[in-house]
Amino acid sequence: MMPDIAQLTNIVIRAASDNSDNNSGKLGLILMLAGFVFYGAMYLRYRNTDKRDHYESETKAETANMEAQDSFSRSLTHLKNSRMSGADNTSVRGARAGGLSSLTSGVLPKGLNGILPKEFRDH
Amino acid sequence: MDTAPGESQVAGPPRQWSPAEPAPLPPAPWHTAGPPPPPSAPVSPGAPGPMPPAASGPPPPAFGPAAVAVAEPTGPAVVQTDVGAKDGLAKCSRCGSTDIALNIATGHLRCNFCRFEQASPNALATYHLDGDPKLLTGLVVGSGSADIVPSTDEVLTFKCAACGAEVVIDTKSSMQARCHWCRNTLSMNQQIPNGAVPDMILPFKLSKETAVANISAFVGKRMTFAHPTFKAEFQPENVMGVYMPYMVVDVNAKIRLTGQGEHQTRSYTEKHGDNEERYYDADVYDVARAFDIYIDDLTVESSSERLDQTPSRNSNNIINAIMPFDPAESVTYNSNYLTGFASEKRDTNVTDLAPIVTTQSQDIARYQANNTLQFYDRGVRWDDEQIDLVGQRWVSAYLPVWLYSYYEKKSNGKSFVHYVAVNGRTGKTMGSVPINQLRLLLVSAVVEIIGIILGVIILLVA
Repeated sequence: MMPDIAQLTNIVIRAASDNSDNNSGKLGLILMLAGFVFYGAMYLRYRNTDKRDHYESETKAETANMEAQDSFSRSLTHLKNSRMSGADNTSVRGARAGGLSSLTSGVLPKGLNGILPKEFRDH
Repeated sequence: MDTAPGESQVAGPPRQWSPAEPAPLPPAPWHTAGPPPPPSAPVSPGAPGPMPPAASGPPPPAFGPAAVAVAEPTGPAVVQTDVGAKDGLAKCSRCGSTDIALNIATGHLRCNFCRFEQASPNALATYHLDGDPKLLTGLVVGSGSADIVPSTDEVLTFKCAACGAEVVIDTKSSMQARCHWCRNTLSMNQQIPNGAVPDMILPFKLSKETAVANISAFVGKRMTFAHPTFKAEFQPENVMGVYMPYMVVDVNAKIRLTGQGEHQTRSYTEKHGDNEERYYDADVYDVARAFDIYIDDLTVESSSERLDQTPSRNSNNIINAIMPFDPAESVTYNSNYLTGFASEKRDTNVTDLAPIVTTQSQDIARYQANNTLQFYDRGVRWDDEQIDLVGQRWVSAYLPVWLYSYYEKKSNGKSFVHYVAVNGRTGKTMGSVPINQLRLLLVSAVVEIIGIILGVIILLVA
């Protein structure tokens, strides 16, 4: 039981410190969801519905004849998000399982994905 | 068995692989060093020189002329992988016994009568299916990966060569049967187009004792919220060794990716009343990458049941999660490797699995391209992705899995099969443990109440 609570604490603390300027306020809001986060974390720990083969990184592959083209387009300012909108260079489309979306529907409130630390998010 | 050696080779109908012709990238300044502010990582080294053009005509009979037979001028090159295989009595070469099984400790077949051991040759090397993916053109398939013919009998009758009795083998669940008169074991080793005999088999390397220990340790860490019925009925020694059907695929492809990437130039905070907000400035670049990719031993389930990995319906993702295997160590198929183990039959064809392999190849390519994209620390959005499959090689295989299954009958009348699986080669373990929902919900409610109290306190203090 102790490791489970430690894991929950870790999730909450890291979620609060992730790209936040108003840590205490967000930590307070996240704590209000602690029960849901705990349930989700335990569900995944027991059922492992998010686990899958990571073929995209584990399959032996080699590249050759790399050609690159990079040309400046424009500058953007005053962006609120630390990540590019719609970035998909780390997305995986061929997996038939895995990710938080594999949790049974309706277990976690919608939007929870956004407040979880990176490793718990559905890519 | 009526099929003579060689007769079971199935070329199948010619399969045309026609990936979309990639649109040319803009002729603007291609370089191999990085973007104008260059990406921090160099491009991946690879084989010098241009790639061979995509195969448009008949595939050349590469990878061992002796073993390769080109089935059709416009179809795939079919490599016969049951050369010399015989059905019926497979006798020990020293004592003549048919009681032969895998010795997990050595990976060899051992006669259970005289203890004589015999090693099987490496399948990929024997059939010249281990050629460099860089040289791969067209479609090459092992004869054990040939299309399944629906009308092919699953139940076959063999005449026992020792006593003359007729012995039935149901290939749906077994590749061997014991003669009910003389007690000899009859094996099926020749390929017929029903997906039962693969091109190669990867023997178990992990003992049952180790698998039981792994499963016990895995479940032991998850007892707090485990369902009480499961806890009472959990018997890890009931684990079963199963050979699961997979396709092992090598791919030679050309990839073209175009999109936009963002590089952060500034990060700063602004004060709005009592709150501080963080903002970012970024430069946007038009990004394109074109490269050749050589993928070795991409492994995909070839059982339609295992391909369905919907968590609300099954726990097949558990079996998927214990990959990767080391299929390069597979040996030529021999039914004696299945003695004492269960096996599942392949029921999908290359054409069924091709979309999955293509998508996964693109994922691998995108992952490889990231080695040249470190400069874009805010990410890259690919707007267009094109893959041109220059060559593919498909080999069917039985791969070893220790599987503990638990049938959960739920209170609402529904049922669910939970798996705890152990990779029969590496020992990688993953599982699904039935949950005591009542206990978990109660503890979660307590955590929620404590969280709300703490949250309110923090919000008031802040």
